[in-house]
Amino acid sequence: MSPLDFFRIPLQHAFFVRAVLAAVCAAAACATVGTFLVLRGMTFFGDALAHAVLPGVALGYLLHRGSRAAVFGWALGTAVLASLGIGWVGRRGRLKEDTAIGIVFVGLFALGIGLISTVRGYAVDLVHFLFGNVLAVTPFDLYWVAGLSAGVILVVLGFYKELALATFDPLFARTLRLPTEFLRYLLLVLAAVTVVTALRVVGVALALAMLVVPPATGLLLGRRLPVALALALLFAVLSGFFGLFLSYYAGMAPGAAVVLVATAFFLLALLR
Amino acid sequence: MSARCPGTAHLPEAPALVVRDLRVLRHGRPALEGVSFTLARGERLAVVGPNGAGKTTLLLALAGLVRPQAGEVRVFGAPPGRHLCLAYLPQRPAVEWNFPATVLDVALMGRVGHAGLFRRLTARDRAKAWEALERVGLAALAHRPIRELSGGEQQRLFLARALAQEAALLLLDEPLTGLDAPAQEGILALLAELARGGITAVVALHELDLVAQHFPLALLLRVRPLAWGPPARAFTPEALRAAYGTALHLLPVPEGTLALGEACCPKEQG
Repeated sequence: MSPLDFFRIPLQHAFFVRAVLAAVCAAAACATVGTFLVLRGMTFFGDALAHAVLPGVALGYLLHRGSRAAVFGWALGTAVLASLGIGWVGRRGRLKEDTAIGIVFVGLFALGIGLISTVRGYAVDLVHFLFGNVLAVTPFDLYWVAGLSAGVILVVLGFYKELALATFDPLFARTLRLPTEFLRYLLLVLAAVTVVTALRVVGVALALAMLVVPPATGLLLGRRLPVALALALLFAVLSGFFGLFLSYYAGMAPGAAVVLVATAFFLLALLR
Repeated sequence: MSARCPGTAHLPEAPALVVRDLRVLRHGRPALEGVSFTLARGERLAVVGPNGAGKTTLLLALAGLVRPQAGEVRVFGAPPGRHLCLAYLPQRPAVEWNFPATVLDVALMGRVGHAGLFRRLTARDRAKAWEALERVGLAALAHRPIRELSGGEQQRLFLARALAQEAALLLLDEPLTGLDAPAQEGILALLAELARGGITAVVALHELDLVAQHFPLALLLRVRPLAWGPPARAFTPEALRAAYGTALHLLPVPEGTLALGEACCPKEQG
């Protein structure tokens, strides 16, 4: 098999092309938002968010059997609510933020599993939600993933210098009268949207990896934020792309394959 | 250099800072009470006092970052809120020094408030940032990652960011902590030079000797103001004893009074 065939053969399948495109888009959005989450020490929040989306997915799945738009809508709604809820609990409660996150996270995750388990023969669907099912992405799913990803990246670029400043020195941002609270919630909402895009590709359980691993790789190699961000994007896109080929040839679950490739890039950067 | 401040409505002849009967509660207890003073443009005031005396609280109130329960603060005649020309420099550990940024990147952050939302920084912003780095003597390190800076360089970088911001009022919290003597002298000399350019500074410090040598004005604070004026007059044995209590030992020596402090290594919070 020629090297060209290596890529050409899987790409003859329309479902595989869609899967690659979806994986690349979601990975790019995750890397963009994830870079700021990593810099702010909010990666646990990203993980919690991914799990907290499950009850929304479950409700969409129970109430609108087969309607993909409904599942997306419910997931998005839950993600935004959960992220604002975590932000709010962390602000108000006397609990430390990671404790608040832990409570919201586990409670909602249990609710999600509970809801899905009321359906007979739920195990297969649950596995899809937990680990993604990118090979089953429909053209409709792809539009959603691509649209949301593009939206997330454009918003981050639009607020780039304010987000960077508020991340590096929040107090200074406040003395400049930047809307730091707005930026914080904006980042939470962006993280929520991002997690929903990642859901189709790597699932709830591995969404954290896409939020953390490519940004960590970028931050390891880049000495300036724009460079680190660009590298994170590059490694995310490469992981999405090559991960799917690994999945195809090794018969591996695509979500796991994408994460494995991303982790391999990270290790190479670390050992460089 | 004129200490002008773009984008804000300043009263042309207003003093840099007017504080009237300021009272701030923190955690239900008074952190500041009855503080009043006026600072003309280009003056340099050192705020001294023991740990927990309210030095940081005073700076935060001046910056508009905590709301006073009573009294008022006027910065160039306006409330401390909408001021681009006011720079508050917290104690150094407040930022993440591992952040992927160069010295120039951080100086450029001083321009973000001028640029406005969705606008990119312009060539003029870059010129201002470079000029600021030159004034604090960091231009040679402009492309160095900030994590490689020494303590004194970090402080100077903060000052450069404030200059890039075109701040006319600097509020500095313990800028000398953890610096060696030459670095401390460097910062103090830089502040004196900026004052000659019309930049007003309020500096919280605990090094009484350096305040006495380098500052024309001092405010001795322990929740309430205990003394005000040139250090030579303000630092009387009575006032110092009232401020520091038993943490300070006053030793009569031929040249005058030697003050020996036990207070070291402050970790003053908020």
